[in-house]
Amino acid sequence: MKVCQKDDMLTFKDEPETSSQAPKDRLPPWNVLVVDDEPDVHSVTKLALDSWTYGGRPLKLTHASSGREAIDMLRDRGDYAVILLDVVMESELAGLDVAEYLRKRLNNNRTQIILRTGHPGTLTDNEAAAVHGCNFYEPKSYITSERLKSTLAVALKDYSSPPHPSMECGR
Amino acid sequence: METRQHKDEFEAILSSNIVAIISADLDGRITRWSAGAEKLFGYSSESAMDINLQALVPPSQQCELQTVLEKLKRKRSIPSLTTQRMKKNGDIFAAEFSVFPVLDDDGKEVLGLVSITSDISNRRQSEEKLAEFSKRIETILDTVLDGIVTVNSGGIIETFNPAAERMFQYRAHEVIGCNVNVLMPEPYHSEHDGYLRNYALTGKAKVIGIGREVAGRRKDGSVFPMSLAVAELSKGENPSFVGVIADITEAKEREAELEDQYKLVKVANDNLTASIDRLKEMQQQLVESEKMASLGGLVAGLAHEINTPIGIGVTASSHLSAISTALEAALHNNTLRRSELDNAIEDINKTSALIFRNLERAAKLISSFKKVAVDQATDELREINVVDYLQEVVLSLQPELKKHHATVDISAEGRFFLTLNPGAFYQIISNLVLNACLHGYAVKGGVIAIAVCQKNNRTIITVTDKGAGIAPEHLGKVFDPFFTTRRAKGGTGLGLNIVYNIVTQAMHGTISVESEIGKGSCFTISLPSAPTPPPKAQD
Repeated sequence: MKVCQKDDMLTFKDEPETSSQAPKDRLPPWNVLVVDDEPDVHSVTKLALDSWTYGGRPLKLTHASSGREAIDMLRDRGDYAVILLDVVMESELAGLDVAEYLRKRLNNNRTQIILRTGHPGTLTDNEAAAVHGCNFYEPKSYITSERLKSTLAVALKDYSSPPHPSMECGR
Repeated sequence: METRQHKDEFEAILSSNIVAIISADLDGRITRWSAGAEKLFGYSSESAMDINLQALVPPSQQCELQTVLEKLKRKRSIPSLTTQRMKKNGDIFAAEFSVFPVLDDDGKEVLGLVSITSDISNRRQSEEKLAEFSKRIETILDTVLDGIVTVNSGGIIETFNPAAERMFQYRAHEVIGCNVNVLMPEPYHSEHDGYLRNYALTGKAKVIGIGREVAGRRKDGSVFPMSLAVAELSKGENPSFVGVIADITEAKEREAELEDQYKLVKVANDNLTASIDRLKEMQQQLVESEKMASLGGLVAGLAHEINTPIGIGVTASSHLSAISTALEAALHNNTLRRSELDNAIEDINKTSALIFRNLERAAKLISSFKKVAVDQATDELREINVVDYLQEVVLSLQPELKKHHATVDISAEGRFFLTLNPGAFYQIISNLVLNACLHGYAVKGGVIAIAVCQKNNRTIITVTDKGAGIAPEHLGKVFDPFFTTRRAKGGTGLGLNIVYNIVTQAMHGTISVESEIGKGSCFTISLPSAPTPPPKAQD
């Protein structure tokens, strides 16, 4: 291996052949719904997760800017693996309404919900998460890109291999 | 001489026409008839000689005449007899009658009689009138409710009426003749004689003619309050006095009761005043806590608002460090591709722009929050640019506005500066804007228009919404303390009252409201354009 010196010109590795990977080999992406009324949250989420993959599969982000919009999207299709969900939007508890709608009205217990919020309105953090069937609770000011990815990784793992019903009590 | 003198005297007596002098024998035959007799009985001297004494006596008194004559025969005289006589015309009148026997020179035989008669009918009438009058007085004394006691100059009780008997529990006969001081407790009991002596000496009255309240003593020694009026009945050598006494025990009791009642009323009144003070204090506390609550709400809203850009910053900056780590590894291993570097640089640009934008947003939020919070906490006057300040207020209210889908549109005809307490101004605007959100746009959102203009040297600020409007029956009450339609939802009813107080009292302005159901509400605040702050001489 060639030893690099500080003043060496930068030599780039050759670009891969674009045709080397056949489309049929590529795995389908994970559908992830990002719900937030703040455009920059969408931007930063997109940036942080752009090239990230789990189990060799990339993410396909869908964006909703309100609880109302999120509910419409969830009603339209049921194959979201994860929802990154803001709480306080058009109302104090708009995000929790989305969670409740998903769990109770759509009876969907598989899609993983990661709550991301500045503060969860009138409920305490864990109450809010538990009562409304949310799987993860992440205070916005603690979500580094690593933490976002590791939480997503756990969520996607749970999504792809749901825990056996008998195991659920132990979790 | 002596005979002559007797004769003259006798003639003089006979000539008197005040009394009738009649001589007669023991059979009643008249022997001498005086001028007075002529006048009294109506018979002339001549005709009188033909009548008997019986003619002068009414039929009912004939026996009496016989008795008198019998007495005279036994040499007895009758110095005075009140009886009736009859005139020639038959009139009967009251008469005073004296009769004496006339003896012979030896004094053994009764020769006849001489009588003196006078008409006392006038006197009788006076006496009857007097008796009648006395009886009336007595009746009055017996009936009157006041005790009436008369005493002589020595203080000895002369009369004591039944009311006095009831008051003092003495019977009249027990006290008449006693010193009036038996009716007095000490010190009057011992001092009363001195009072009388003083009055006799100096003529200076202490009680006489002056009513006063004193104490009386009953027979059993008990003492009672009484009012006493004393009058002098007769002046001169032996004055006597009348005392009129009323037992004022009941009046005193009523007075005491009234006093007690007054005290109770006063205590109740004091309690009421204290309650009102407490209520005022509580109201003040509520106003303060409302102020603190609005500050608390502000903090909570701002915490959320600030967490969003900070969260974005945290994700973005950690993403930057992830890019840098990946680049470092690729560089170190010589596996870096140009396309990767291009992508990384693009990512870094986007991410750092995001970080910068959100840090800036957080900083702006914090500065407006700081300004507002500090303004809330101080009472200092400061000159503000009205429009700039309004924008800051609106920025701090973004969380609430967003929740109600309300936006604020600020318009101004020019630039306005006001010297005021910015915290108070914040409270006014935030209360009006939040009211527009909570009431006007409770169901659906809309625009809240804040307009500033100048009119007659006053700055006019209007806050208008096109929301639900205020019911006509509520319109007159919106500035009243504790009036709220949202009590169940935690409204205190103090928001607009605080606004009203700040505008009218602290800022010497006026505030009014117009509203129509379904069309919206418009609050108009008019503030003096140059509220002069106290000039600072040293500056």
